Amino acid sequence: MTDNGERMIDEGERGTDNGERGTDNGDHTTDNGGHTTDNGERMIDEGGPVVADPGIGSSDQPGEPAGTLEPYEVFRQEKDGDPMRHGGNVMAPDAELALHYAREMFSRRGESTRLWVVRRADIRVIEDLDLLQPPLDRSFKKPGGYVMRDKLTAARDRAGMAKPKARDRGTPLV
Amino acid sequence: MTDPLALEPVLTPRDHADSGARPWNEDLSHDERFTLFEAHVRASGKIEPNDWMPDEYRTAVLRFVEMHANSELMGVLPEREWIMRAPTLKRKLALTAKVQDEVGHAQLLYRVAEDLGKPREAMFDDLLAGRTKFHNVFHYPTRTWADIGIIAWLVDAAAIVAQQALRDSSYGPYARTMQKICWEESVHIMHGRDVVVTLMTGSDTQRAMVQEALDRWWGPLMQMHGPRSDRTKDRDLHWRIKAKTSEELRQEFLTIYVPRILELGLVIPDRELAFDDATGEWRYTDPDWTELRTVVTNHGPMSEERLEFRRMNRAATAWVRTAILAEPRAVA
Repeated sequence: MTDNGERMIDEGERGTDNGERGTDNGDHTTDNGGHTTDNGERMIDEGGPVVADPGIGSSDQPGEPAGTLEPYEVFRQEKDGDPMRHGGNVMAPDAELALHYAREMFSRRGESTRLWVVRRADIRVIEDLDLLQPPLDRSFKKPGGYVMRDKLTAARDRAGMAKPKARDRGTPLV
Repeated sequence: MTDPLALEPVLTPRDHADSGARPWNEDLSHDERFTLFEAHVRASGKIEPNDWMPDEYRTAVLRFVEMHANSELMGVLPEREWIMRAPTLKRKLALTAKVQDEVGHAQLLYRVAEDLGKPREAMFDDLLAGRTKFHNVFHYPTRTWADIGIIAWLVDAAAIVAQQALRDSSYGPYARTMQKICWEESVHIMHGRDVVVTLMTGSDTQRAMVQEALDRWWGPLMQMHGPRSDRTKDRDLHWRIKAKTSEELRQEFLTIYVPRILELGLVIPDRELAFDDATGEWRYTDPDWTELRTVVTNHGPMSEERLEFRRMNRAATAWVRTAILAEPRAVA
């Protein structure tokens, strides 16, 4: 176990490969409660926007209309060519600050090449498996759904042809 | 090469249980859902925020994550005190970056907790009013620069032992957040170890300073994971919110770090500390659990001062929160 300790740290140090991979090991792109609409499409429930507490101490700007903070989901690309993966989320009053927060939270160490920042309320989710993975035979959509070994043998027999040998290019056309 | 035509079709009936579907649907009674939920978690299944979950599970995850978030937030205060006194520019940059990381961890964790239903303002209210807790080690003063080394190395090491075990938490968002956090924490440990090792190559005064810091921190370090608990009665283990008992974490910490402390010529202030080959465990003097209870209930040497700093800080930054929520206004 003594050697193990060094490994613990190394594990972390290989972070781009470790800590980061983790940020999206679920396929769920949203982290929130939701409700299901009639057609099974699940809308994300923001859980209600958070109204900022004016805070302890008095505001210098009385009468200023209070906005709301809301969650923005952050997707990140670790290096050019990689897929975008869910990284986490931030709370922000608007899209511009959400970008600043996302940059600070998800690429402070230069660990991303691109961030997508999306208002959580704008994400539409379907996770009804009756829709996504209907219990029907969809074998016709997959290569494995076409098994013709026996039929092919029958067809060759009927044509009086032998099974071609590997690399046999057939008889050249004259 | 495999002849694709020779492949048998792989067409098993869709098994929704394998593809992430939740068996505890809304048609079932509460008890039936509870049983299915429990079976899913016990079989290492993951829970996502939009899943139905029993109240006990939701509150247990919330309590656990909130305490963790509080600790990250309060944990920067002891270190913050040394930013202006760091001995070199490089140390100052590293320490500032560490403080920024820890506040960032608090941000990530408060987000996880918020999505479970408790607003951030309510969590701050509870923390500042002493209704929720933060880790024992952040209730102590930092007297010398060696404290900064010991905290970043050993306190973070003890924490990361626990945090690595949380990367497999049953609560998906927490598990994923912990992977990011562990990655960043590993840098802190290197920074802290570097501070300690550097001091240990210095003057006798510097070496004595490290020993003195270790003497003060050893007790809180041994208390940090908490008293031994009964595995069968620990609900957080039952729900797989965490994976290891406090004693398992402490043993793991000792196994890795005792040799690294001793190799520097430091003396661990516990005469009982020894590895018992017969049991395969470390023996040590029973930590002072009274001190732990006293400290985490905000009766530690720095508890009130640190909470008061947070209260002041919250009031002083209230205008920022107001400003970012204000309607944009044309500048004349």
